[in-house]
Amino acid sequence: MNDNFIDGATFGYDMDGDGIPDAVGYDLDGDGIEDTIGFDTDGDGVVDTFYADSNADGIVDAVFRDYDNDGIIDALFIDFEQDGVLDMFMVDTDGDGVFDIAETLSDQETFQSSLGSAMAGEGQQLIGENGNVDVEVIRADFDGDTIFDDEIILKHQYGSHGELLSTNVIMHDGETDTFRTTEIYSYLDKDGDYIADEISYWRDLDNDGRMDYFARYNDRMEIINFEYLTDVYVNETRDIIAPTWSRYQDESSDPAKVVGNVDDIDNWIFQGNTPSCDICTQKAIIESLTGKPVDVNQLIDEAIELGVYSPSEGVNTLNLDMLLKTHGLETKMYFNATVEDIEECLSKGGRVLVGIDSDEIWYPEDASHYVSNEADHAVQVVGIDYTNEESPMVILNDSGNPHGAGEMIPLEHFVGAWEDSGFQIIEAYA
Amino acid sequence: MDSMMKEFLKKVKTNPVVLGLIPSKMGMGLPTVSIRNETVCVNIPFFAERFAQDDQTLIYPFSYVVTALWGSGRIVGFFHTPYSGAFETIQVDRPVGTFRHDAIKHLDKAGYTAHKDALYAGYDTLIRALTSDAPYSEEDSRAFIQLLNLLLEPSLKQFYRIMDADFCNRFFEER
Repeated sequence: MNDNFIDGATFGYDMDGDGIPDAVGYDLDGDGIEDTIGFDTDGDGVVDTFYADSNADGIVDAVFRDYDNDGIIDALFIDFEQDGVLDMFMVDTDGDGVFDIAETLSDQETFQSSLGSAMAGEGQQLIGENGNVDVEVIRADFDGDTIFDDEIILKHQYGSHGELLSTNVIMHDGETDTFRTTEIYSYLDKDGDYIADEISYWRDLDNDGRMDYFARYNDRMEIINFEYLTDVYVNETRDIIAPTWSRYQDESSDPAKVVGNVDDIDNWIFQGNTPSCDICTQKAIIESLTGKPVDVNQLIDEAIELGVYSPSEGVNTLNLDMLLKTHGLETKMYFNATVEDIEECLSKGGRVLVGIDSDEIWYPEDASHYVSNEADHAVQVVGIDYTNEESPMVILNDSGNPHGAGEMIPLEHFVGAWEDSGFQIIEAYA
Repeated sequence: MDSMMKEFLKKVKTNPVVLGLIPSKMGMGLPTVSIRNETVCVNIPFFAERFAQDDQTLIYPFSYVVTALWGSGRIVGFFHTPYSGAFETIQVDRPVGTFRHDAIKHLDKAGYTAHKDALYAGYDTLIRALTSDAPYSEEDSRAFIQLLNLLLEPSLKQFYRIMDADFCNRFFEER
């Protein structure tokens, strides 16, 4: 067995209560007491980060990272002094399961004038004028060519009382001399005790420079909510349940025969495994009509503040337009609407949100996987495509389907799903 | 044509009280039928259903219970379970099972819908017997019990017993 392969999980923890273990406890020394907890930090179902208490004193003193999800630890960070600052790191450069590089981080070095000049050092902690560790630099060779080609830089920011505000994890590619922020931690102190009560976390999963994943944790590192900000996991999540509806494509449609605003397709976001379709849909409409980007988590906070949203339950049906209103849009909500009502609203430059039965959109009649619900989902009707007049298609932005940007549903099929909400519609206007 | 009970449940789901107080993503459970003040009432639970990453549908305890008068659909009872008597100690944010349970796992969507429609027809027969002199035979009862116990998610039965013990004692197979 590899020296640093972790196996023998003893306990699974479901920290966000969704029935899926997102942390696993291990008893590495076999004394019957858990000494290590593994976390699935990116929500892909694979535990990738382990916090260990090697001397069983109740304080975490080592962190393991499995960067490529192959079950073999790639890097180990150790805090010998148990002061919350890393003293040493070890890296497995060739993926053979044996740590072959070990670096001791020098202590109490003076902060250099710029991040660039700090790159010359090897494994440094850089102390600012206020005595805080402003930057930690860890050199590594992750591609196994024995050359230090990457540096991990932890850049910390502090508030006026020395409280930690944020940490940016920056990768420095030595070959191209480029810097890329891969993770961001933002610490929120709600009660003024200078201790973080909430942590916001972003991660670039595919190294394209865009943050793909977002999560919020409470002070016990339990997930409050998370979402995928891009479609990086589109092919890996819920592929089975959503039928492959075609997606709107300009070239196969006659623009003159499309009613609506197909540019709105770009505003689509995936809600992930959260009951936030209503929030995501309102976000897209707000951005479309105001031209200003809004953060989905800001909207969630606003909805909670307004008393119309629960992270575990979603939004009440009659409050589906609340965020639209508070962001300055005029809305009109009613039931027993018709397809003509949708068309009229879209023709006047409005935007349309409807309630539907997701079951009818996501699962065909012979589906083996389905839910028992009635109307349970909110989507934006982006437009109606009459290019094929005998078979018009409704263009949806469906945040619940990982393929839901500009999803094309046959009109008749859409009406069947819409009927279950009592033909509920929300018209929104700038 | 849909059964009377199916139409009734649609009416309740679109009642302004329900629309205003119950989140749209809440799933509607199977109803129970009771007599209160010599009137037929229908008790309807609402609970969360959420997708898990591995295409499982997690089901949660009842979050809301609505009681409506049969026929008019007038809401005469409503409670949010975390703040209501016997339900208070139940953690509604912890899943209790996955849909579908083993006994109906073999049913595709069309098959499940057909069974559910048959159950709704069974509710209609029961309601007719309660509201008129229509007969309710042993065969009617046996068929209803069989379908009800087939389709009910076993993990939710404990909450049905809190919601309407009389109905459960009469129609649930396990006591």
